[in-house]
Amino acid sequence: MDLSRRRFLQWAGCGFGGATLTAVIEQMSLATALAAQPSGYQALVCIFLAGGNDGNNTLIPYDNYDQYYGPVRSPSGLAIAKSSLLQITPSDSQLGTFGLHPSLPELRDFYVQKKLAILCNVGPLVQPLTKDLYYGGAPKPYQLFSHADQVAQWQSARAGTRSSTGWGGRIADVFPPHSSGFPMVTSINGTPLFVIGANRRPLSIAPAPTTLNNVLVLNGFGTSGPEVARRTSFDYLRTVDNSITMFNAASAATQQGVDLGKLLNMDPTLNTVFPNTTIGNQLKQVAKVIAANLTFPGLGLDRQIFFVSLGGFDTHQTQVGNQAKLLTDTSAAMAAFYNATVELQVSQSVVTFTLSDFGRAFQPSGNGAGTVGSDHAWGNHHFILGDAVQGGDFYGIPMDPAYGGNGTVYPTLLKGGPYDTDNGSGGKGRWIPTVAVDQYAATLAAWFGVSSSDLYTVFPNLGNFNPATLGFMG
Amino acid sequence: MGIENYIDPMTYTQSYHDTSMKTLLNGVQLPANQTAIKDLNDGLDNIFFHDNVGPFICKNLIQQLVTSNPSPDYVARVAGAFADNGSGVRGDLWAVTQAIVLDDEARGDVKTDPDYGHLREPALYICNLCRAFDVKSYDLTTTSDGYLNPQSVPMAQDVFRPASVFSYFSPFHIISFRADGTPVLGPEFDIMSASTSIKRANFINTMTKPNSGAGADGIGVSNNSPNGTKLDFTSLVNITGDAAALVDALDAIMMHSTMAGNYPDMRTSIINAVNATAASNPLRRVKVAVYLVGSSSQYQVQR
Repeated sequence: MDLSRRRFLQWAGCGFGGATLTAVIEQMSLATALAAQPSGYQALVCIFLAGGNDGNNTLIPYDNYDQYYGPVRSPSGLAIAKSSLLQITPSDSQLGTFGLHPSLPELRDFYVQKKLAILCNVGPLVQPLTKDLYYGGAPKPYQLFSHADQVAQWQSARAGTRSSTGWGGRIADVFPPHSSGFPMVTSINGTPLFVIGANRRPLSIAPAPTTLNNVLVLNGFGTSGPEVARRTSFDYLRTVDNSITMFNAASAATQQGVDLGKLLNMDPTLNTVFPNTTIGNQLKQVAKVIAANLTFPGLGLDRQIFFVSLGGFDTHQTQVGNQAKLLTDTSAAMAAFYNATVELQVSQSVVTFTLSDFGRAFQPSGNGAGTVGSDHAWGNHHFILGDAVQGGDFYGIPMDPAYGGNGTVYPTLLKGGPYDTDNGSGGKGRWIPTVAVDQYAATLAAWFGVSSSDLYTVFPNLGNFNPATLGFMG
Repeated sequence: MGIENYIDPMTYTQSYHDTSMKTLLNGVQLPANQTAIKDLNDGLDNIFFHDNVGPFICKNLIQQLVTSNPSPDYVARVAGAFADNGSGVRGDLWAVTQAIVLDDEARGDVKTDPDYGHLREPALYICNLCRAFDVKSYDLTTTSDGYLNPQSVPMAQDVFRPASVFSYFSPFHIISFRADGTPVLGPEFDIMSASTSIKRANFINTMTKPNSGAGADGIGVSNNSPNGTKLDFTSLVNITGDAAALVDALDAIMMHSTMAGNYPDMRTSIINAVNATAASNPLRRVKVAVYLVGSSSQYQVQR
């Protein structure tokens, strides 16, 4: 920690209460308090699009729109109009021009600025699959197309077996704990599998507008003799009867809340304005925890992992309007969050990425623009955002022409085609992934500082895939 | 759009129905061109009679009602009652419920197993406390309006509005591992965190307010809450002269008298805290004791 910053905080801490310190930080701009970050700070931020975002309407071939996309998706009213697409171009000239969903203007700008990468046709895999292997009995993920199971596989990076830990938690497990006891992993949306490691307890707190100095506050204790006695008993009860497994688990949760509440005793102020949406308020809280970590006495972790989640993507019906709203919220919130990392001087050090239950079937479900939706599928396209990202391009593993693939990372939108799980023209268009979640996650973990040997501990199935990591982090 | 209708059954639209032939569990086939309601009923029957349904439903019900880690034999006994209630009827939930709560594993020696029990989910935590103290309106003259959802939302349970169709927590949530490596499940712990555990204690504070004036406890009257909610501690106020008697009364009301025998350190600690509050303030003594029992892990986990 930089000495001038330590002095600043000591000075502020001596002379003022917490609220005043916050005001001082605000006045001098957060940049002053951020005079130096913990050396080599890095953070991963997972945005989970719960329900299964329809990648086929998120990333759409522009040049080939009329050949494959329009004929399947237009008649039912599920198509996104070609004229409304936000055009982007990948480096592979075979792909031609693509279009992002018109609700993603911020992400299009990030793509053009080469801060946003797109990973194509990624999903849970036990081993690389072709359609022949898929039908030939090769190991494949358990309970395909099922929400709960596919969420677990995305969040655990274990497609062949149920896992009690998630890959965010397992990445944290390979780093030493911080002396403050503040966990490396913070969720702003419950305690999903992603954040659970074998050894550590992640922090889970409420989103903004709950201030950070209010997320872990015990109400109602005073300083009188009877109050001290009540508090003494309250604290003591957590220390006894812990041979009972569930008493121990409940008491540990409360103890963590009490301990971390002492560290989160101020509320950092950000100048960046976040949209007042579900996802906006969660990402705002992430930015504030990053700010707290960089400026609060006693903190200063050099690695952090965050989890936020937005629900509603399970668009079996009324997809057109609903997905547009959800993508609008996601794109705007990701932009605000990126701007906050610039304000906090960590835009080089923070990478935001999306996960989701699964992609959705190319074949529409239902009919009519106001009602049509799409059903559960498999491979999907995802976004990775940050200054450290080698953005402005598509990543993935080309579909092998030897197995009928088109030689690019983006599947041919052909029902019953070589990368559809179904055969014939009645196929649903559920893409067999060409990239494993393991490879996606390992690429982020390697950037985060997980050693190449530890990668195979964190991702036990990674050895089945080549290459182990993809190029989107340079 | 508009206001969601939570009252009437869902309806179907025949014109949206997929009328093709369908293959269901166990290879059962439904012919093409059936009506939506016929396909729906045939589909439900197909699921209902599948062999896995009884054990699946029964294990989940046991986890909700008794213990997060039932033995396979316990699940099998209850699943047997699901398959046949004794009169040849499948799926009789009264027989299933009896089988769950009257089983030896719900009432017998296995309760001493350290992995036994389950965490009260927020809705049950709130309801249990309210029922234990004869919940009433804020002015104690009539019934509570039951406007309690704002209390459970911070504990990660927005009642009737879970974030997904899989409800609030996973039946597979693991809280620890035994020495032999097998997991100990704790479904409700899926939504128990540093943050929500503090909110649980803060809910007990809202309902007791030991450090505030006599009338500060409870949920006041508001636009959404015409009656408000308050716990009625009247029956306990006149026994507060003896702190041990007060704590033992709460042991009976809240913990079916398990504290005195099983958790004596807890009992002693709470008695000491009660004695630190002046005997001249009997209501505050009750509130101190209720706060400490109600916020304890020993109460929040039902064993």
